[in-house]
Amino acid sequence: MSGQKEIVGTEMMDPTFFEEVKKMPGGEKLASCIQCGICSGSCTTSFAGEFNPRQVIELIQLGLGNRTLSTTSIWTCVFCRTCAVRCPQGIDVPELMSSLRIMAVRRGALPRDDRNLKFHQAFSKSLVANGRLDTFRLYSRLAGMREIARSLPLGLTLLRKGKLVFRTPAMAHPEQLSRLTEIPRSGEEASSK
Amino acid sequence: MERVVIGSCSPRMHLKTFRDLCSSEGINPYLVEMANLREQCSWTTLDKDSATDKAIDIVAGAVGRAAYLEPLTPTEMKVNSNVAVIGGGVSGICASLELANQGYKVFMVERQPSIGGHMAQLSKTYPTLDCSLCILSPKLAETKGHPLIELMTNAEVATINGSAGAYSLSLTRRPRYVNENKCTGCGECAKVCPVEVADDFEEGTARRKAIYLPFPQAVPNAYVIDENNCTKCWLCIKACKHGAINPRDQASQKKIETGAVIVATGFRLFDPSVLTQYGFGTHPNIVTNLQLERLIEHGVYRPSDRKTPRKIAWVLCVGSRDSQSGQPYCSKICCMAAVKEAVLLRELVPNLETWIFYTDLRAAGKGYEEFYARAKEDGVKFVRGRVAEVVPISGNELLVRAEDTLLGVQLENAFDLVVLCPAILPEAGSSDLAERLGLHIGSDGFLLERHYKLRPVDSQNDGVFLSGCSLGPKDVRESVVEALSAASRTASLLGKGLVTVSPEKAYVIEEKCDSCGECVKVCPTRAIELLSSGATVKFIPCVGCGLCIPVCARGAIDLKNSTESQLMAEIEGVARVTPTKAKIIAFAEATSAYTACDLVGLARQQYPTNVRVIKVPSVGRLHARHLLAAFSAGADGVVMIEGEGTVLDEERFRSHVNEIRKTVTSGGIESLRVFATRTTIPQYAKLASVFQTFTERIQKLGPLRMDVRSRIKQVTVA
Repeated sequence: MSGQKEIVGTEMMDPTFFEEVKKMPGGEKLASCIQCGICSGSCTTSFAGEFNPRQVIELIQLGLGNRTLSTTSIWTCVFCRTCAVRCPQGIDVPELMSSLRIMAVRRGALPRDDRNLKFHQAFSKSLVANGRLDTFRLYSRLAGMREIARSLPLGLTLLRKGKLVFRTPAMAHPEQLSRLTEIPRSGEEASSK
Repeated sequence: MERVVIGSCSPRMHLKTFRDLCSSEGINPYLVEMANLREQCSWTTLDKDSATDKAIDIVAGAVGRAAYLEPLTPTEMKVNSNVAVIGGGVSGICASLELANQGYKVFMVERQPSIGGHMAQLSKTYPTLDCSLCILSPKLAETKGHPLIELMTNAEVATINGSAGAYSLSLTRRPRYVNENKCTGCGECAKVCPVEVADDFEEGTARRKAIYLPFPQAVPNAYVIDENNCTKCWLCIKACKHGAINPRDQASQKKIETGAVIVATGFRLFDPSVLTQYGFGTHPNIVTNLQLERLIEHGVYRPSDRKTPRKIAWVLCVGSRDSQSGQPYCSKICCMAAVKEAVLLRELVPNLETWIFYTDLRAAGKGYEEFYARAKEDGVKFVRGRVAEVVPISGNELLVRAEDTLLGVQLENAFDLVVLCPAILPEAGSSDLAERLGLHIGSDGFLLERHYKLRPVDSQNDGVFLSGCSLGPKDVRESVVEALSAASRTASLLGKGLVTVSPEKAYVIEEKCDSCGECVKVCPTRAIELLSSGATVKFIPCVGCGLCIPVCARGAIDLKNSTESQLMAEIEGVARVTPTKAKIIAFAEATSAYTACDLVGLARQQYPTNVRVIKVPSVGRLHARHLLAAFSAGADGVVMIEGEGTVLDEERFRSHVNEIRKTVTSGGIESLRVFATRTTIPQYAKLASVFQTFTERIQKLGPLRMDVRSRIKQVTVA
């Protein structure tokens, strides 16, 4: 919950947004949500976000499109699927979060300075460039100097045990992956699959 | 003027009005025909031109049929004034007493060894906090002692036949092994019985012997042997000073004749172990609310160590409002039951913490909101949020995790007793009974009332009335209201002493009958007998379904008000008159399927005007010749729609449709032009899509080839 409360007026509501999300994967059964809270009660990461999954659905139902897409909460889902298993109305919340991420990237409505988002961006950048995950570069992109300094002892331990690889070799033809990774950016396909 | 055709709303609305009007003017009411231009035409489309063509066809069909209408007179039959009440819970008991006090003889059939039902298991009742058994047991005793009530416990309905005014039921009584009249209820037998099992009345919170009294106030107040667990050591025989135990007791059959039946079969609970996140069965301190009711009655303790609980959580909506693993509906009584239990327990246990986790708290009812307010005053804590999971953390304690949706934060709290409130389901076996009685079942699994608002305790079968939780989840007060309504409806049927019997019955044309007996085999109500003169239809048991007609090779059997000539004339009128492309005839079974077709219009659902509906008593009344007549007169496709749970059972429906399809396709017509389906009334919405899809199919196939049409024309004329 944000400290400062805002007053939501109808001018902030986009009546087409709800319909748009309903057409996305995970959005099919959105209208049947009864706001029971079993998803957010079950959520393993909702403490970390601004809104919990139930509140994200409420934002969508109210048509608060910009608010929904710019919230950091849609980037905290780790796809454990506990909520999807328990939802009494069969709403696939992780799939919904994935769809919201795609919509957010398309509209450029990304939250600023969000660690989770940065992680996703660094992750996909590494994947696109290399064809496989380069953990050291991922870490160095995300962590600040102070954090790197703080984790130096752990790094040395890992290095001694041969668990730290400074450079992961790229796969033979990383460009073959590009077709998969382009889809969310093209804005043509609704599905990330 | 000899005959009247009215182009208007559905005959379901005002056929009686117009029949009465004509009757008062001296025209036989069966000479009135209605063309359904509203529900099945104007309300189903916005396309005026094609709707006009469709209306012309519908009127042409009605006029065609009207020419062959015959004057008919309903007969009156004396009714049997006995009543069978199936189910001995509070609903069945109140209905029986109400009728018996009016002078009707009542047979009450209860599956359990005692009457009382679920109400006997409850501690107190909301919102008045009356002790449940204190108000119920006088009723139990009155039922037992009433000279006009014959009580049959440990018994079930085996078969049931007949119609309003004349039912015959055969009942199977399971052996009790204890003579009800000799047993004094002293309990010496149970003392010596070596077998101990979980007590079902106590919901497993206590144990009982294999010979047992269901509960102290049981009616009849006689012991019973639990057949499944008895080891037949017969120590009880020696212990019984009254010689009440009969080891040779056997199942017995009893036949009864009644004029009406009341179905009050009650409910059972959803199995909460299906929702694994609530851990039912994995920890002793997770119980159902029915188990809690029993715990309240014989001392509140947490089952793990039998100590007094300090902190109790109620988990609402376990399987209710859950279209994935449970039931989509709200079970209605759980909110108030949980509030009541919390209030009661706070009185019984000092310093007890009581938390109710709810989805939406539903306290709609006289005095219910006030009771909820009182609970809050008393200090019961309410959390709006469906419980996510219940996790054992020690031998006694459980962690309950849920979101407080009003705050948007996750709550984690330890409790030493977690009470699950499972959904209310229709009692097992009620669907079986429904099938045998010709009752309809709604999409929720409960019995379906004749009219949701105006005939709430009537079934689709004129002499069968419904009451209590067999219709849907409800509390004691509402069950009693329905019991009294059902009793009143029963009395108004039986009180006149006579029932009107429809003249729409099958009849045999004697000179054509060769006594082959095919009709006897197919009749679902065994209404046809083979006499030396040929087949004869018994008037009362015949339900007018017409299943006997297509099986008669000689056309020797016909049906009043749906005669061969009437049906053929209607088909001819509907199919011939306007030159509509991709014309489709839909034969709809009169009760459910035709009603469902009306409901499509009532809901203003659109479907192509290509489809014209013709009402038939049952799809089983149709012969391939009717479809051929439709095709030859101009139809390009035929749909047959039968209701669910009609006399035409699934197997016969399929074989009948296959038979028709075989004949039709052998005439050169593509098999795809014939489609058959079943529907219940509540599923009416699917009919609009059936009509849509089938029309698209026929449009793709194009019109029936001219040469095929003229060839079948020659065949049908010949």
